[in-house]
Amino acid sequence: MNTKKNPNESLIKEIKGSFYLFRKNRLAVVGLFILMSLFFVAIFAYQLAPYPEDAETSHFERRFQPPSLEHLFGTDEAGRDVLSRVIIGTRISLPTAFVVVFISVASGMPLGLIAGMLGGKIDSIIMRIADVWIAIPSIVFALAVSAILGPSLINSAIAIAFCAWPWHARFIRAEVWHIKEESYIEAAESIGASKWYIATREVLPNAFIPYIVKITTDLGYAILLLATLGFLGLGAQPPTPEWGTIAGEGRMHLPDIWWVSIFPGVVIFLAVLAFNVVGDGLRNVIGVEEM
Amino acid sequence: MPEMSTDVDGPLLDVRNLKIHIKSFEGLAEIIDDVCFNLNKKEVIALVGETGCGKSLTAKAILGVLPSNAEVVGGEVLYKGVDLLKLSEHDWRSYRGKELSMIPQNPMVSLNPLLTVGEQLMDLICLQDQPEIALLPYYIRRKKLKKEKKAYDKAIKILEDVALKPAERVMRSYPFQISGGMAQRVCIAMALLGNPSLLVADEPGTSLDVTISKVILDLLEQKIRDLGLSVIFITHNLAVARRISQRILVMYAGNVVEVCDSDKIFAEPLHPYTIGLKKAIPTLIQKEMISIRGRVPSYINPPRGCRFNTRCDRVMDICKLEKPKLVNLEGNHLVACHLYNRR
Amino acid sequence: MALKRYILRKGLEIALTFFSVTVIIFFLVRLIPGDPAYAALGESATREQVERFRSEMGFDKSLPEQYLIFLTNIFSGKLGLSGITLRDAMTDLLYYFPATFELTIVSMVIALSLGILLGVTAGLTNNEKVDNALSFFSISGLSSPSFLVAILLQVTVASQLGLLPVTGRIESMFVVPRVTGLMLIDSLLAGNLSAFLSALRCLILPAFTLAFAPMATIMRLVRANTIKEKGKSYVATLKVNGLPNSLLKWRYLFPNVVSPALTIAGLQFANMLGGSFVIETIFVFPGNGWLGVQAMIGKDINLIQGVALLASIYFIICNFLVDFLHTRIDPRIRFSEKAD
Repeated sequence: MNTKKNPNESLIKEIKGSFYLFRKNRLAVVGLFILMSLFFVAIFAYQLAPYPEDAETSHFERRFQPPSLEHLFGTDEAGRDVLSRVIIGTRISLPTAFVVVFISVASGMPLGLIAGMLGGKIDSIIMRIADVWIAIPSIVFALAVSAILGPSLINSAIAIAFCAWPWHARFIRAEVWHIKEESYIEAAESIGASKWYIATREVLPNAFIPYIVKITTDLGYAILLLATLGFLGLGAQPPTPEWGTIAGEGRMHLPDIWWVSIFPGVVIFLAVLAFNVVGDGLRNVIGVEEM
Repeated sequence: MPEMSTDVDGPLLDVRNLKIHIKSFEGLAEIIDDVCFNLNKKEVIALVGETGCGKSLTAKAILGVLPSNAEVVGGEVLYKGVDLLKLSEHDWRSYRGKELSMIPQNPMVSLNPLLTVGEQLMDLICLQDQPEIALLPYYIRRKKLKKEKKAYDKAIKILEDVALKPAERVMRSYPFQISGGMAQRVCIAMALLGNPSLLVADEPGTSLDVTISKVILDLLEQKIRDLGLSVIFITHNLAVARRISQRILVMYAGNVVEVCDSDKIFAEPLHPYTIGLKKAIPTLIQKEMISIRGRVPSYINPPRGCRFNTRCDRVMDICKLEKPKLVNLEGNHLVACHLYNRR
Repeated sequence: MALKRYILRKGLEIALTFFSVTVIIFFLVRLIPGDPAYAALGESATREQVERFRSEMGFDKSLPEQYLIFLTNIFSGKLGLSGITLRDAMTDLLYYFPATFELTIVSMVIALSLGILLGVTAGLTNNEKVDNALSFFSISGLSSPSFLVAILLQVTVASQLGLLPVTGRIESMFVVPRVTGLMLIDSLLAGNLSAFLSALRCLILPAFTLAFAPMATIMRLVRANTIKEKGKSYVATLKVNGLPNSLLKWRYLFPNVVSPALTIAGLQFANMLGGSFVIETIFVFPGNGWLGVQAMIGKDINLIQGVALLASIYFIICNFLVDFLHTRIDPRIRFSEKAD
């Protein structure tokens, strides 16, 4: 039997194995497909929307038309095609979600890293603040902030991002603790590696892999929160076609005019589901325990 | 309950051609491949092999606690003439604890962490010979049952039997409050309280300190002798196996490769794997630790022929084509190897 | 006794957290860019209006002074005048609190019981199809926007099918004298069975909608725990040694599964409080959530502060209760308290 092994072979085998695992989880594949479609729609929104001008303009003669062949999602109170608005809304909801998560990561991760690496008093202080911050339910916090700052998409995004940092800090700190227990950290320390070196070269790369799963699920949750705020009138303001805002506009006319609220809601559901399912699939591949 | 045979001469346990597959992410793992052995009354046999060779899985099959992704694709496990593999959960009630029982590997995680030792023991004492009982009737009848069975006194007694003193304190303790050695004794007490005929000991003492595990082994030996138990003793340690058992079964990659009387195993090991195992035990004279090269093969695509062929240093062409059968050489010494098969 | 020390310690923690929360909320309103005066009064407010607002709210004093006033006011039961209701914000909060309390408690019961039940079922079943279906159900549940579920149910069950009332806490034909503020209790106290049933019917849709996402989260965790627990050594060992299967499942496995789920339950409470804003608004269920939305829209500073404060306190207390329950169930936690 051939005992010599091509060194690349085992790496390829691992990647192949991961793909296989991911593929076996058919739900995750479907989720990935949905996500890719959403990205595609976001990029080519103006080309794909049947009535691209409807993001802005109104046609009051066409208002409140139920779903039909010309208007698959019906029209709203200003006669705008709901489908087009939802499609264009992709360009708002998706990037904003990414911005939100980015801010959370940028604020929470360094704090968690510091707390975990330095330990002691700094660790206790940071964790105490995080614990207190968590005591205020995130929607309450986000609502209060957006109300004070004035409701808008950016303000609600910032508000949501800043109430998510404790979770990120906690997560990274926990990962750092786990990794610190490993002996290769001791080895690095014993040969004189600085804390900074250890943090960036050893801890971060290893902590990052489960972190990706968390970030994926967080993206979904960000979309959900943004939409909820928009629905309540405290996020993106009309006529911005954010998914939640569109649904919120339709709220006054329920239950007869149901399509304005329900269709955007379903799209939100599909997007969040896709993120969650892909996160799950990644978790299966990486082999992390559910938190 | 199926009729058990009263044949005094036959073996207590007869495992025939056991084949078990496990469904996993990557595919179907054909772990247990045609395992055959038997256990006689009042005999202690040792099931020896490295981690992953399937000895625990075999034990689980015998005891009826295979995981849900495991499938028995062939074979029989005859206990007093009854095929245990075909028993329903209802039938199993009369066997569990009273005919068969088990001592687990890691005693600290083998007790419910949320209940005291005493509660768990008394539950077993009261309910072992009852049919299935629902939760509400249990709580209603609990006090009466405990009194009827004089459960508390019996529990104290069996704890003292395994040299746990003061027994009252252990009864009141939660599992995390007692040491590993004490927990192991509790597990032994639990296994013996129903007066079983067959005991499966799954690597008892491996999770304990060497000094403590020796004491535990002494206790176990004494109990086995006093109660005349028939025991399947699972271990990866050939030396322990030799000390505690009368016969040793060596398992590799889901097959029984050698069966031999314990006192002969060091004198004349036949199968190359057994020889390798013996060589790997460090002695006072031997200067280096000689390990067997290679690793346990994948169960999903097991190698054709003898499963040891990738690591054997006396491998021949036929080993890669044909699976060697377990053949009885002289004096009840069985080997599954082509080196000895050529008759 | 260990219990007394635990309560003392936890009491201290709660007090500390409470004060920290007041600090955060206080600074939230005063330090965020954007003038609260203009926010409340609108861009076109005149100078006198702004000045008057400022002095009324105490914005003209120094920050530490303001905080002290803020704190003493809270403890004397005042939160400041609400611009909308023209009463002290505390009065409004307390008036509308029972509705939210009723809603969240019933919701939590639904979420916990269904979540645990379905989670255990999914974990123990050998039927892959059942497990997959339940898993999909749970992941859908936590991906659903609450307003979607609310609207769907409202439109279909209430409006189209007419099975349940569309909005409100109790149907308009009933008048129940207010004793506790909890509609279910008050109607029983008044001896009015049909009113009780009406209140119950009004509670079903909002409570179920609010419970939906937390239930899904709990279900996922319980399922994962169940799968992990059933493979543990004590399950196999006790089973082999003769413990009846039903007892093994409910007295041995179940508490071990539920115990870690309890920590999640506390957190889910926070989500529920957040969700109550949407649910109470859609179902016109006048509680703190509904009040909060009105306050946000009207930019009523004192009311916003009050709602945030009350929500946090409610959450802290519920979290504490859950924590306490946890120590009762898991002796390991109970005894580790001693080590401190």
